[in-house]
Amino acid sequence: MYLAFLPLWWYSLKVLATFAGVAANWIYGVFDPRVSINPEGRVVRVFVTVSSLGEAQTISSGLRLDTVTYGLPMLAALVIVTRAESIVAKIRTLLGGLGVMVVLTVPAVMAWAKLTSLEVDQKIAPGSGDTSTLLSIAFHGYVFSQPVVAVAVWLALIMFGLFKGKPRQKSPAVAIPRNAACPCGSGRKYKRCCGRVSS
Amino acid sequence: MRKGEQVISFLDANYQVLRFLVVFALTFGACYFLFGVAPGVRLGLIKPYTNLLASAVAAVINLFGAGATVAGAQVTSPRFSINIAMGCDGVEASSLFLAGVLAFPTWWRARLIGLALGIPLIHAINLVRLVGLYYAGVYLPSVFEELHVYVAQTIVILLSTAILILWLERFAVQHRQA
Repeated sequence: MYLAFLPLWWYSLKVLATFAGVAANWIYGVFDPRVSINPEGRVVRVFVTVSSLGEAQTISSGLRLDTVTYGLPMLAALVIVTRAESIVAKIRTLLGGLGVMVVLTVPAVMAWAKLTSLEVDQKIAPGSGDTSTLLSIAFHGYVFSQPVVAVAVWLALIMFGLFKGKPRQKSPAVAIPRNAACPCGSGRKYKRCCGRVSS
Repeated sequence: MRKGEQVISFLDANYQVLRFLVVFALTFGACYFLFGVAPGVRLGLIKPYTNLLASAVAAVINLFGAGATVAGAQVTSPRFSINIAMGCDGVEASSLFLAGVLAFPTWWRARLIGLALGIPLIHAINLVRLVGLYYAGVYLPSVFEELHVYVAQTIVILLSTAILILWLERFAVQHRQA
């Protein structure tokens, strides 16, 4: 199942890169207008504009999107092989799980943009900026542990009971007037027939 | 119902699940930092372990006449060479299992049984993966990188997850109900 999802994931990387790149650029641009994030095929490219000696320079770096999303086919395979109460529950769980992992890609791209911008700052003025080791560890940890992220999301989906589907709600009982004919077909009034039993 | 009340009601209803997920994430993060980043542990524990793994891989493939030699974490043979680096040491899969075992609410006895059986089993599976990767390098060099990154790592993680689920079914849930 995992191997079947691999090509599907590979061919959807351009769409994923477009989504992650555009969303990350929109959010990140609010905080740091020097940085722009643009999708280029399966790569998300980060451009940092710096002014050194009065001249504006643009430095770029690329992030291959497969490195931050390779847990997706694994999650899809795990969800598909998990027993669910109905097909609808399974499809909903699959979409929910994949949605969570795709959304997590946006902060990952933003973290990459921040690391690139810090690296550029370091090159311009060594020792001036924060190298943000913690951010680097968190980013590389997320990238490195994609299969574990997939397993964690899958466990969360199971534990939140998403494979079970929504509990069926009982249809609200229609109130039968006491003096109406009984719905059981006896010909008697409801209050003298089934109404008496239920009361 | 107001938003705040809805959030509180959700947290109340899913306390056990959220506790599991938070403890799982924190334990895995701590293991990743301890075994993958902290220089003392990496140099003092993981590096010697990867050297030991390299020797084990060489011993296994030499049984089939590979003629491999070991230098540190590098296994060299006339047909293919592999270097056992970070990520090949089985730490990630063990950390996943450890995090799952520690996060699930059960008895410590069940946890200790899980760790005593699960961790060595995961490392044995990892050794099989390394040997498999060596032969993938020999016979399928064109797709070695893809097999290494996307297939072999995923298989080990999936097997670790299977061991975790087996432990949950056989030990953890029973001890929880007892």
